[in-house]
Amino acid sequence: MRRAPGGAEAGDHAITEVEVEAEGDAEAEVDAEADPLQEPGVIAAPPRPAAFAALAATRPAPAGAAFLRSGVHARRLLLLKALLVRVRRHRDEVAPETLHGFETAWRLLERTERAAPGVVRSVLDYPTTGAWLAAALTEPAGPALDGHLTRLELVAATAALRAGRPLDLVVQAPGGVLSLPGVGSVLVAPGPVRLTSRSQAVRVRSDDARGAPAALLRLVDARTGAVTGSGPGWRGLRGLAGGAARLEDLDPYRVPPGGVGTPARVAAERPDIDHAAWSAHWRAAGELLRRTDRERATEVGRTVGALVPLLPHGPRSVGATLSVAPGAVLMTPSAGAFDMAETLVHELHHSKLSTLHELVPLYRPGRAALYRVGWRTDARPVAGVFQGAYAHLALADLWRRAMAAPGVPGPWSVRAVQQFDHVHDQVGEALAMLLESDELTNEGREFARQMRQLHASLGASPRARG
Amino acid sequence: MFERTEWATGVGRSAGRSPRLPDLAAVDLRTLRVTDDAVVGAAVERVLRHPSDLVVSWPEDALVD
Repeated sequence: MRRAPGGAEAGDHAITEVEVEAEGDAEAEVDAEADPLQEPGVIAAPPRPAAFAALAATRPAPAGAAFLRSGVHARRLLLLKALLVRVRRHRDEVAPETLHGFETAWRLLERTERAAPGVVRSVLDYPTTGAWLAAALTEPAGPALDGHLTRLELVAATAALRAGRPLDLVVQAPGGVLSLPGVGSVLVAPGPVRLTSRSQAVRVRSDDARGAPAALLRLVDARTGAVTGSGPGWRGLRGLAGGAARLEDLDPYRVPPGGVGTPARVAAERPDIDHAAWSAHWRAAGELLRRTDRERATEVGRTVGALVPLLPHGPRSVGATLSVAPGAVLMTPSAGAFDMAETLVHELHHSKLSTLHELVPLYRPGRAALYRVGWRTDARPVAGVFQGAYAHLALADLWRRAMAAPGVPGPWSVRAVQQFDHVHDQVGEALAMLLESDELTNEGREFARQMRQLHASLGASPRARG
Repeated sequence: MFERTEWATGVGRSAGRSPRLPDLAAVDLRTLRVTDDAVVGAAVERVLRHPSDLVVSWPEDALVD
């Protein structure tokens, strides 16, 4: 691995750390490894043609999935570096204790990564970490930015906890909530919170409340980094069956401030959420997808990391995806398995295309034409047309299979027939629009061509063909 | 069929920006912290100049019933 000369750059201040670990030992460990890490200064390579074709056809494929996972992580690290540069560049505008906490947290993350790189990657790639980075990077300097910066302490503490690393760390808990991304949260008194570990268990206690009852967090599976908790203020995220997805109803960054969409949909809070209904619909949607298209069911199970309940708004279930938080599906309560299965597939393809576009630009910035598409009442820029065409093409593919797959529920097949024709037509119109547009890159045009191949192969429904 | 309805202003006015990512997927956090690589630096500056580009969402609204 190539390391930058000197091991630290100008302005990289020494920090005092309360987290316990022998830096030298960890350094020796990493240098002894056959480390595959790379020098950073290369543009990400495009996907292999087969992976590109599978992505264009909306089909799950290992090569395409691996390519997108790398893209998510690369973008996450770029935003983390951008935040580090911003903090260093404007360090005089950051409160000293916040700056100290930020630098301490970064060092802790580095050491945890040497021991457990997969765990650190998992925490960094968790959807709300992307949303946090976006919030911090868009926040003007001041107390609100300082509040965002303290989140890195919790990201680092979560990684250390999940990796079973020793901890003796004082962190900030904005709003009295110690939020551990992907794990849960602990309600604490306002002020600093001390995390101390012993035998793979971490005690959480307000720094000025020694002797008071403390929440206890325990690593229960070193292989997966699964954590459970107990004691005052502890609230754990609930897992969803059949994958790594969590019902994310705790993280303060799960929905942007002010909500998402127009009208704005806001996050549902835990007391307002029917967890049994969400879990039941998730399981039923997974079973429905398995009966319809096993590969797509597997893709949903592996790729959706967080299902984020939004407050209900109107009679219809509504979904949303944040480009900085791929893998999170935001949605209002579903009416049942059909509704949730369709939303999961639809939103997952927004995540996929958004990530792909970061790696392989599909359209050019700088143009701002608006187009009419069949599935919306408002005109959309080329990005919206591309996104909508892709997500609806995936649905058309799903519905086409639901018409013919043996063993799928009858009402699901009927619904598929009802939905397929007009969505298939709408996607065809949007693809024609994209292919006539002068806003696509060469790669974008090729991607749209290959989308059109799938579209053509789906053909008309048996009902339409008579 | 379809129609191009209008030219919007203030949307996507970012001509010349390349959104391509540097290949950071296999870079460790220490290297990320100390690197002064030009490609990474340029990508960071793009992020810092246009942070609002990060706030993109794909909500299902204004859908046709």
